Amino acid sequence: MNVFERLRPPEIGPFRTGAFRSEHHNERNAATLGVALGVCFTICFATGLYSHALQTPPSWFTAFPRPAGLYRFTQGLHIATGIASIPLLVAKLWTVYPKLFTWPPFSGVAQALERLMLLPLVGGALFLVVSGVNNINLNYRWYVFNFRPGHYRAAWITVGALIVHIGAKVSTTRRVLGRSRASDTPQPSSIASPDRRGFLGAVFGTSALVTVFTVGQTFRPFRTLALLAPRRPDVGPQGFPVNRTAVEAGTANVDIDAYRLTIEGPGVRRALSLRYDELLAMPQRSAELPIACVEGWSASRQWRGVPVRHLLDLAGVPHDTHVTVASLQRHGAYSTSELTGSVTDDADTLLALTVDGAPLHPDHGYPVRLIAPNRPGVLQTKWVHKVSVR
Amino acid sequence: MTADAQIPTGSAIKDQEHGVVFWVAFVIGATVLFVFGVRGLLHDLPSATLQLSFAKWVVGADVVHDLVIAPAACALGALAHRWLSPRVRLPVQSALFASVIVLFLVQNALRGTGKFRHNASIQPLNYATATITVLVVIWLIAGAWIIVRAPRSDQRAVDPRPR
Repeated sequence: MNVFERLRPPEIGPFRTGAFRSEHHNERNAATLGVALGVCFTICFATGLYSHALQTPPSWFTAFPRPAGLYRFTQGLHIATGIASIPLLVAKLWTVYPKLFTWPPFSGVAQALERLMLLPLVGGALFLVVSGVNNINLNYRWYVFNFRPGHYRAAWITVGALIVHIGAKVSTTRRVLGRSRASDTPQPSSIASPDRRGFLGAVFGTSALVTVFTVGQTFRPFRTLALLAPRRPDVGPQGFPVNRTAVEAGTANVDIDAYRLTIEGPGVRRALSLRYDELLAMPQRSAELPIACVEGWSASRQWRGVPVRHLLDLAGVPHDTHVTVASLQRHGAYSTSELTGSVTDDADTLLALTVDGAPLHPDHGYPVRLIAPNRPGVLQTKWVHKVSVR
Repeated sequence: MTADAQIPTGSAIKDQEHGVVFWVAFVIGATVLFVFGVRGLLHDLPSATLQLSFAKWVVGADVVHDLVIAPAACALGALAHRWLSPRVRLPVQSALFASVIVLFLVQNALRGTGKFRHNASIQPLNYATATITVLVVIWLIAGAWIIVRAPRSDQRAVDPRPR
């Protein structure tokens, strides 16, 4: 008698044969939901990596400014897919829940490793969903570590465990999902039952429903349906949202007479110090660009201001130069942002003075804010007072 | 029909699922998990306090799911099975499922967490009304489903097998 036989739990509760009577605990549902979840997680992971690379660029990555709305699309997709995956994840875990009580728990090294990997897979997936939902609501009260590295590293851990899980389940998934297509293989009646289709329909329907009621925070045609979204793209100062207000940043009362925008640093030939009225008198350019936030909302607006490239030309800075834009905001991770050469040189990279024809509201960065194509909103630095060239 | 009859266990799993593909996936997945995930985590969350907090969340999510959420869902399903007729069972269970998902998604907004008094653009709606509206939509769909599936379910209701 081996150790598992000796430790076999009594036939009570979930260990009882036939404890889980629902017909929906079956391989086919597990495989169908697993494939859908795999697709959602892959999209979330890829779009999340892109967002992370823009915010914390690795040495091999260079941010590119075109297409202008790419980040708006990828981050909107990231959040929408993450929300859509919640019902899929819950249903998938419920479908395979009886497996938690199978005995023996494993019958070899490979199966032991596979089951061990379920710990980071399930825990990581649930953590990603919960932390993601809290993040889009700007709720950070519940953990002591920073959201972004925690979410990012949890994504890698979960995807690592997911790869192992896919390796274990690929043959079963193929067999189970291929069964319905094989006309010579009869199906068990319950597998093809209307209730089974109803179960999957309910799960995918819920997924569609929560998407429809949230995606309007970035997808304008669904704006009025965004009943469950924490943001509306048309609500906020000057008709669109903000994350950090001027009061929070300590920039609510900028003395416009004392305000100067400086272009400085070892990389400039002629340092510039410009008053607000001098900036207004410079050649202006208009561009319709989105503010696309990492929390998944976005709003396109008509911005007008001085092209960064024009200011750098006046300061004698050559093309394809990396610059740092600094805010009057004293504290916070996003009080400065980096512009790579290709972004700096893009004609639509502006130090904006107006939005939709009106001076910027303090919460939108009055007197001057950065607006550039294809960037996360947190990198569109507000209350700009300095451009540094190394 | 029971789960045991449909989901293979033990040595059957070993035969089907742990061939060459599994081991290749294991090497790739474990490398990704440990090199980019765990090693990066130790770098990004440098203190023991932060690492412990993270571990608590991930392991805690496992424990809460396995010991609280899933048993509660199974118990609710069993009660629905006992109390509801076959005609209404799946639509009601589905509507309950969708309602719980909606409440989870909107709970931050309902509690006003994340709101900042100087920023009216965060959670700008009346989320009690919004949530009730969505729940009404869900239960109307469930009601329509019950009506549409009535004839078929009535036929199935004569099947005495436990479900």
